[in-house]
Amino acid sequence: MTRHARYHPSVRLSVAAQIAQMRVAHPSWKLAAWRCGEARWVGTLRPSDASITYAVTLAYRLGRRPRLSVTAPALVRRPEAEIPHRHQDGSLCLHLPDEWDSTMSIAETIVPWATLWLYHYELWHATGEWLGGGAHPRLRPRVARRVAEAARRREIATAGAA
Amino acid sequence: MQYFDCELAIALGTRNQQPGKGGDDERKGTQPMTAMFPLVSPPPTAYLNDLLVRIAVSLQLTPTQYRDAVRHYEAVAKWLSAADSPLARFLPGIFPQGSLRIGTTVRPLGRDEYDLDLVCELLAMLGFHDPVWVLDLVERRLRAHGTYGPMVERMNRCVRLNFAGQFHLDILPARPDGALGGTYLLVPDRRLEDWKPSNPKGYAAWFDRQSTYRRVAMTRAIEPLPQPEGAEDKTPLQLAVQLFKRWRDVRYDDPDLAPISIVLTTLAGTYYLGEEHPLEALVGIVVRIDEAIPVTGRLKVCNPAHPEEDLSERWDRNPAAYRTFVSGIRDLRAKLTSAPSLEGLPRLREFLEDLFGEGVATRALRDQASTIEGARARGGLTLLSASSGLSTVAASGSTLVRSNTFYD
Repeated sequence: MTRHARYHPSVRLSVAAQIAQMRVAHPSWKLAAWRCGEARWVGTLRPSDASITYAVTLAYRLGRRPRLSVTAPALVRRPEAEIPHRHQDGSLCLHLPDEWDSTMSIAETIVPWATLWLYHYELWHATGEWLGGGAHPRLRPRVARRVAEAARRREIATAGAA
Repeated sequence: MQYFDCELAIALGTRNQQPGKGGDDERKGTQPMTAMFPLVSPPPTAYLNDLLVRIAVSLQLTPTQYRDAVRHYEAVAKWLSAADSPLARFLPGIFPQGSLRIGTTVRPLGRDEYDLDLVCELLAMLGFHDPVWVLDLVERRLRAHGTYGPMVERMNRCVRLNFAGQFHLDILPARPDGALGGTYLLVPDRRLEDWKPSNPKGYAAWFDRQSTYRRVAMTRAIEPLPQPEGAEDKTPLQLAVQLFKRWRDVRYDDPDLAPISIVLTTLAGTYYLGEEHPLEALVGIVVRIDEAIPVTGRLKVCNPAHPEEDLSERWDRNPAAYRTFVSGIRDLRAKLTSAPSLEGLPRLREFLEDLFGEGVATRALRDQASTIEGARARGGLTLLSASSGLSTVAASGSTLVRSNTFYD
């Protein structure tokens, strides 16, 4: 889709359009910087009414994936395990490479996904298990997604049975 | 008015004038809010309340166990009233009492069997009979049964049937109390060799009235989360009583010091003022109990269905039990009132484990996660706003959480 979009530039959302949508959807967030084609927001996320309020920054430049990082409180590992589903730079791994492209609204994808990620991060600390599913990086994206979709179908089946 | 007044407990109409400053403050604080903003603002403790409902439900009899219990006690009733039974002429009939009747069963800590109480009312036993003879008669008849015979155990006021791994059925013989009439009964006591007054149906009716006091009937879905399974027909008071009893089981190791279930249930029913969710219900109950504790003397808990019966008379004989009860209530009050300000699910888990035991809190969190993940998989998960969190109900202005896969 990303490759395709190059020939249909109109379906890509400009950085300005993303900024406008963020302002409407998440009015409490602030656009901290917008220069050289890169927008940077700062805001807060609270995954549930029993959760910590996390300060986060979100950076986006057209043609790159949006990078969302938690600034405070600092994310911590468990004694026996590293924090799962994070990129090398510490930003959150929220989607498979082909699950997001620049035609999609950051406000409607990245922000809800990060909230869900933080819910599972807290649960991971509370229960010792990552209960949010996900794919393993060592698998190729297509295989990874097939694995994840199978897991999700199982989830629906068990939810339906229960 | 420092003492808990027996008459107030039964005079429902005067409940609003009950002692306890906190009672009035609570009502003023919570009731108008929910009435004015029924849909717009979910309670700020939806996730915690959801976990509490899950904990209470996970501790009660499962529907299968409940059906089993009913099947067995109906078979027992048939056996006792069969034509060749020596009890037949007294027209025995069996009905559940206590937690089984009012829907507040809690699995005991450290063992599998629930304690379930049944009354075997001998409707036609009108005159005086030797209480021990009546107990023995019921026991002999049950021992003669092919299946139930080997399960029989003789107790002070009842005959117990042990269903290993499931529950005990305690069968209490009872005869109508001719002097008082109505639902009043007399039950035999082997040690005292006498009949003691009782009114299980009256008590259950009182509890039901307290449950539905004000407009609240059933626990509703605590938006933004759906109603947990098994909570469909539970009232906030029932859930609060289950949590209260579970707290007691976790806090008091020594059964001689632990407050008995009927005392906790009666206190909860008395001081419940119609809160809609279990956390608010339990906080309200515990705060009002604390405020009703007199400076001198002791709190008196009377049977609302039998006013002259002091359910808490044990505290006269055992002042240490009363002292630990009071310090327990103060401690529970402090913990519960700080609960809404807890931040982070790990902190919440610690809080719940501290009060209700280790396994139940983690299991409730896992159940909640699977509800959230189920909604996510069906495309029914939404984000209300960046600061108020995830929701399984679509509200105007909320954003649908699209399908994604956490990667790397």
